[in-house]
Amino acid sequence: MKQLFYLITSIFVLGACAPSHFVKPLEHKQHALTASLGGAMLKVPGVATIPIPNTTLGYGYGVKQDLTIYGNLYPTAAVFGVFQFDAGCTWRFWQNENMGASVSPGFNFLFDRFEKNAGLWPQLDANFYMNYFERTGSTKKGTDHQNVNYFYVGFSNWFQLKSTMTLGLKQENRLVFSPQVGHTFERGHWNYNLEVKFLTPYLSNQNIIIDYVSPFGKRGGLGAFFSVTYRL
Amino acid sequence: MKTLIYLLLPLLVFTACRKRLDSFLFGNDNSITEYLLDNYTGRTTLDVGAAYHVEDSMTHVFQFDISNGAGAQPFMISAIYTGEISRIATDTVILYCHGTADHNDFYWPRQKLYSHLGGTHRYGVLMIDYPGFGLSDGSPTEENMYQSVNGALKWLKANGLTNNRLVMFGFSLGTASVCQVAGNPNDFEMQPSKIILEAPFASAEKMIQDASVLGFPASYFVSLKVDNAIEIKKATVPLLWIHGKADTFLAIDKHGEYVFANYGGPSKTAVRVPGGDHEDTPFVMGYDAYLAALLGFILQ
Repeated sequence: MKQLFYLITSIFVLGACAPSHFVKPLEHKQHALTASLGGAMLKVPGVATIPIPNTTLGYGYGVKQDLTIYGNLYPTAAVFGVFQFDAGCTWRFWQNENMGASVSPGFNFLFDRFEKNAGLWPQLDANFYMNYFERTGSTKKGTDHQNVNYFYVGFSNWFQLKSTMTLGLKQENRLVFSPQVGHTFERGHWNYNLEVKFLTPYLSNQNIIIDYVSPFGKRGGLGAFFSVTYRL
Repeated sequence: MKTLIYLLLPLLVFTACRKRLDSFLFGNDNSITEYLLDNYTGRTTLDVGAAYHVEDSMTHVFQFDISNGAGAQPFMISAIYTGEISRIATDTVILYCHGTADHNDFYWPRQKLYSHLGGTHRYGVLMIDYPGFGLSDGSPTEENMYQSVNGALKWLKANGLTNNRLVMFGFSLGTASVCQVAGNPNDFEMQPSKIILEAPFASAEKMIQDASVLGFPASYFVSLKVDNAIEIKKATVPLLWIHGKADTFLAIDKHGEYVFANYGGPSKTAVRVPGGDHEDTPFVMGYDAYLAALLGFILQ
């Protein structure tokens, strides 16, 4: 029975779990590479309570001062023969001196090489961030750079286009909503980010074949992620 | 663009991987070297006590071979039959298809229980280990599981069993084989006269979609189908369905009820057991009441 948990663990290797890709847009014409690790927290019997080691590799480009486009690939999903890709843009629609807000519309595409099943899930994320630390630092080479710390809160929505699930059952959850909080350390070219996502806190996590860890008890799950961004 | 190519190349290499998760669905243990039966000290499905003892003389451990496709090497399937083999030609036999855990030793208490159905050895009971389970050769796959069940049917037929005296009983993963045979009888050596399903899956895809919320196709994870809720539509023999109402593994409302509702045959009986979890429904129901429900169905 224990091994069944590993099966479902892998569901989230492929699943919706990924952190916010960009909360703040990049500078105009700036390029960035991103990588993330993490996923839903599960109790794996006989092992521990662990976040699923989902991975993403991504690229972003600052089209305008307030608009960044991005795309991400999912290497762990690929190991299981599933091509998973997401793409979208982050638009900062409001900011003042120390804070700002952005929305990130996008989509997720999955395709498996076994039965050639393809699926598309639109996504809409929104985040509010606030800088609380800004200081000019210097590198070993003596060049100046900005060190910034900020936290953010927001939410992620996946939209299910199909109205039915397996066995012809009605899809009851056309909108999959998960709020998140995160913190980013900007250090020169590098960003280090930690994010916690509260996965579908309104849905029961009972009587399914996995044990989610959730701050809401019998509802939802908890995702934990670490990501790094290198801004060129 | 160059950066994108660098990112895509390893991903394409990864995507060429054929790793599937089917094997994780099978909780098989093939580390044993013999069946210990009553002397087995590992975990078991139930503790039925001395009241359901089976004499050594009525316990037959044996093997039969199956071939896995044309031209393939046959491999051995290990089985346990309780009762007199000579009576297979004249009496009713239950083919018990066990669940996903470990091997026959784990389910031995259930076989003993069924050996007392309607009186000691009123019915012969055959239980097999699927490929990759216990002492059986091969690897655990859905197709191999069906082939091994077909091998068991072939063995029963060779010993004189006829379709009208065959009852197939599946528990959990074992319900897949029963539904497959009942839904596609022409693909198998024998056709059961009645089927019993305890704690059935609806399908592998249902299990995945319940857990992931998102409507992912099962093919993103497994090749396994276990389409019980589909196959049962084609069944033409009477059905007894037993499911614990407190099943925390295969919830009754998410799995069993769909199988029962989709059944398209002539007669169906449901036993929903208050307080019953996945493994312990016979105990929670009470062994006498549980056996009485089985017997009543078989004698209908």
